[in-house]
Amino acid sequence: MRSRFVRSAALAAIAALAVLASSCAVDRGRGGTLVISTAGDPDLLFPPMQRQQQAREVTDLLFDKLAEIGSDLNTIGDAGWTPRLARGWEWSLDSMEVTFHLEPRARWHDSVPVRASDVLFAYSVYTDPAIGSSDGALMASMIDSLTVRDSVTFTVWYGQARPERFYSFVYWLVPLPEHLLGSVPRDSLRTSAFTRAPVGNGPFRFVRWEPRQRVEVEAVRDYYLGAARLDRVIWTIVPDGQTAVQRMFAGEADFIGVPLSPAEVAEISNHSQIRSVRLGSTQYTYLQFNMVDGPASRPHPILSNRELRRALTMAVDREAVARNLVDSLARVPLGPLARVQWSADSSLRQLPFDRDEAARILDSLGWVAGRDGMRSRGGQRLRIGVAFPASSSQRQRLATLLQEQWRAVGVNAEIERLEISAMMSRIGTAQFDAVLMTVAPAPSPSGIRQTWSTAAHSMSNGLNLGKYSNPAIDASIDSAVSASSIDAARAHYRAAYQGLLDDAAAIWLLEPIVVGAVNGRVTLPMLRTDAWWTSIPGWRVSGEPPPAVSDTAPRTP
Amino acid sequence: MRPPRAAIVTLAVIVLAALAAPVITPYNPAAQPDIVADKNLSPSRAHPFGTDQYSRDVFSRIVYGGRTSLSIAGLSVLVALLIGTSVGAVAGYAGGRADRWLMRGVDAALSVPRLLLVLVLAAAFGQMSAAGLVIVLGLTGWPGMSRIVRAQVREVAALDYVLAARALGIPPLRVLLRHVLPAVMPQVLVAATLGVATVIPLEAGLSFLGLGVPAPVPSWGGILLDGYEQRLRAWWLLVFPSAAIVVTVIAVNVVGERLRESLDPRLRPPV
Amino acid sequence: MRGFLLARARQAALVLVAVVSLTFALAHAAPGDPFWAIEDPQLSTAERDRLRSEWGYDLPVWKQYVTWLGNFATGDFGWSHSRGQPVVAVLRDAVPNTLILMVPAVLIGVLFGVALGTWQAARDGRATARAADAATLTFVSIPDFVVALLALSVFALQWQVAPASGMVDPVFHDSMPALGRVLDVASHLWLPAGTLALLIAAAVSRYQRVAVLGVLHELYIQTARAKGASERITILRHAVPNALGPVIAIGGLLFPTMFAGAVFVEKIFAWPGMGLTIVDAVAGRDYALVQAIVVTGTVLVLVANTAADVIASIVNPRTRLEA
Repeated sequence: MRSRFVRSAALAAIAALAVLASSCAVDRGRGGTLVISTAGDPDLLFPPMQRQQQAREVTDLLFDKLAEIGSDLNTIGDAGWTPRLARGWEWSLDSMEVTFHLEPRARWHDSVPVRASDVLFAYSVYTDPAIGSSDGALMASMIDSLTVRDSVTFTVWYGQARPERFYSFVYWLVPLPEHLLGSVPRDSLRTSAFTRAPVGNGPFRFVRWEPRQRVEVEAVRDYYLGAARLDRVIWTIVPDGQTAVQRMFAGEADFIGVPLSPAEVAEISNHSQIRSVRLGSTQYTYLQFNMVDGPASRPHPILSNRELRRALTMAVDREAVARNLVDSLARVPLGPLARVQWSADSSLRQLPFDRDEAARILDSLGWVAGRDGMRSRGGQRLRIGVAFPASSSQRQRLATLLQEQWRAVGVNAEIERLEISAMMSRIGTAQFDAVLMTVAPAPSPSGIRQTWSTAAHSMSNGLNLGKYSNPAIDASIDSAVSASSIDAARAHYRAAYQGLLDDAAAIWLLEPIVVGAVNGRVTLPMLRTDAWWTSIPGWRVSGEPPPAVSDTAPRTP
Repeated sequence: MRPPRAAIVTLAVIVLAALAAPVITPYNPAAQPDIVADKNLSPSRAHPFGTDQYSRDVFSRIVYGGRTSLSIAGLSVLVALLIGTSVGAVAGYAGGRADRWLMRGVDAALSVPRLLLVLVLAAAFGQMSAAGLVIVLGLTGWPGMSRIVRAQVREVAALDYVLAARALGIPPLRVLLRHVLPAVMPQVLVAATLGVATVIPLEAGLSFLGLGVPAPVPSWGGILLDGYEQRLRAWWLLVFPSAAIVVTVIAVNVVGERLRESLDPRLRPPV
Repeated sequence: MRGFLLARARQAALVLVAVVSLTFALAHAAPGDPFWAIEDPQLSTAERDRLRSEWGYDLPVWKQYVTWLGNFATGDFGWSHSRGQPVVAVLRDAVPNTLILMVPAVLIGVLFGVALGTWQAARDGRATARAADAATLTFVSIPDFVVALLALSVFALQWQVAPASGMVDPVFHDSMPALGRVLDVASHLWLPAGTLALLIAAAVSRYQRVAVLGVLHELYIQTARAKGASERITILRHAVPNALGPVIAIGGLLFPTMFAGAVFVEKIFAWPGMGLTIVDAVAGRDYALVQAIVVTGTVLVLVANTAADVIASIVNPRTRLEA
């Protein structure tokens, strides 16, 4: 019948259109465009207030700092730093002032020259308590004042001769365009249009940001240090590593900046065009115990006992847990530090994996196993809640593994998958038992003040969520931070680390080797360990599109 | 009408397996015996359905998961049945204004996609326990039930013997309970059966979105979520729970539809 | 017709008031502060104060309720803290994307389902019809998200004839010419829309089959047969229009289910529509956004229902449009 014919003709037409469209999509010549698969949206593109690494990936290309840290990540003194916006700098005789000279050719992307007043303006933003920048607070604690000498010169006056005073200023401070932001009221900065469409002075300028889809930047042709070799960089957001790998195989991405699992790394090794890349990272995950209970800060009924925490740590086979999660890419952290930090010491004494000893300790503390194998004491069950943000599937897995590890010694763990708001309120009112934290510390080991010192309890960005407090360790940390030589500092840091390990303030669980992937047509220089994206201006992309064929010859990753 | 033997036998097997879970499962569904070596094992003699990423035996988890999914489905349909029958019976029997207003409310409730309602409740209350899920699913399911009950009640209420009972002055509640509801029960049971077939995929979908029963308790949708995360590595984590859901739902659907066909005069072959 | 549409509009308004009231009650019955979004640190103090007064934060509950109703009526849906944008802005992007997905899927699904159901009823009892019955039963029994997962695994991952996710090419979409952009969306659309259409077709065909079978036994069909009209004409001229009435009415009941199917399809294919948005919003406890999407979804269902009834009355003049 006629209607049937019409129907089938329509269906045939739709099918033809779809096939045509698919074939259109495959044929692409990308030239100088680099496509990076990244884990999520930036929260903001505004250095003083952004928090996500994805935001840093973009803003480090849009904004120049005064100088860049050397690849050895030495945070003491100013050796190895490469000039950027600051053409050069000199110290006063007592090393308490340093005068910077700005590059006169540096321009904001709207062609206005970069001036010293921009640095002063940025400093005022960073150190403004209303902005709440933790890096700014650190700066303010070390710097007495910053004065502008002329349009390209300014001087920083330090209050104390801390060894990392250069790093704490230059690594964190990003100059901001005063002519664009000076008139914006401070408390509207966060929602201003600038934070979603920034104007920088770096080798790339902002083009567009489609929330949850992609961010695009393009190279600045007349950049004062020479234009980047790429034309454009586009970050596209992928939900997980598997999708990222699929996109690369389909030719839709050139670089994967999200951690890949060993299975995915193996898949990549079978592809002739794509190879895996070690992405340096300082990230590690640990289970932080809460030492107090409730807003009145009474000692936690279970976890304030040092022996119990030690038992809990010994009951966990950390090697096996790490291997279950990421196979060969797994390492157990040495402690509250990242291996790339210069204070790292592999001779630190760890608590052994010993379930029998753990059981013995729990028995001696009076926690008796009932008929179902679970322990209780005086009618109270040995129950520990393990909290983590709902967004992290890796920590969900960790929690499930921990639950079973502890069940073997009679400890009842409850998995608490919390949304951010619930988590913040539970932490704020100290109503939690343990929380799985993932941190990616900055190159300087002095960050340990933020995570484990008593002073961190009152810091606005403090990470000492369990209110751990140990005066001996505070003393070690203070000595380490103010020590004048690396060796002295190292010894003090070691004492602090060992103290925390012996106290079982936390269970340090995972420090994965982060592996990404890159398409063969991209030439990579050496990648900086704390921030691989900072070398992007030196990356080169050859013009031919990648072939879509994968061969079966195995390649070593 | 030929009874659907295959479907009934299948359902019986599934329900019995769920009840006998501790007996027929070789492993504890939460146990992680060897998290390094036994992770993601493909199906074998020792593990007929393989293991998941925590080295847990998938067969045991599916049997216990059946317990969870079936009991949540059954109980929530019961809740929906109780509320829906009450509302529908009152509307259908009383007629007039009460009927109109009640049905307006029901139509309004039916205009909102059920999944969205469940999502709103999940957003408001956060992670729900199994009991919470039963209540949420039951509360979102009763409007559909009440429509069917109302239609049936209206039909039966117009029958002679019911009118006679009313004329005799028997109190309405007794008429409802003694005469009307028993006549309506068969169709209501059909609706309940088909309701179970709707809730099982819905609960699985919720677990898949991470909004179902919390972690240590296995459920079919939860295993599917694990399967989705491991989708390129462990096909057995997707195939077996899907098969379990599909087989169960088909069996329930077949039973329900056959029941309905046997009760609907229009579908009988022409005389 | 106009009276009917006005009555429907009035009914819709009442339904929406009920939905908003329900979500309001839930927000206050649930643990926690329903106005958590107002404490979003991304907002300035001035904006927080503005939101507070707009939504009656400190007013007694009944005054808050009235304010909420008023805000919704004027299209002010509040602030989405998980997106850092006003809710209306989020909807402005998400709703059209869902329509792009659902409209073709529903049209194709219903057409195909009606055709299939009719064909099955016409050949009732034969082996082919029984096989088709088994197939549709299987499809209807598989959870929506499993079908979507299967489709994704086979077509996008295994055979690679469709992109693995998203609505547009993440890199090149904006630099394409207009026709190219349309084709780009189409190439991303065919698999999720096809999956959704398949799910809809299976469900519709089962109802259509039953409806046509029921109608085939009606007396007037016997009359037409007795008059000697051919089987095919009997079915098409008489059975289908009469059966379509109940099917379109059932379709009205199916729209909410179709919407639920779209939620799972969007989640699995990462299609940036209302479904994906509400799933993410629930995960982030973004209550304002969840509420707005539920209201919008209800509006869509109501509109679709009305359209379906109008179509039903056109197809079968005997179906009177009752308000």
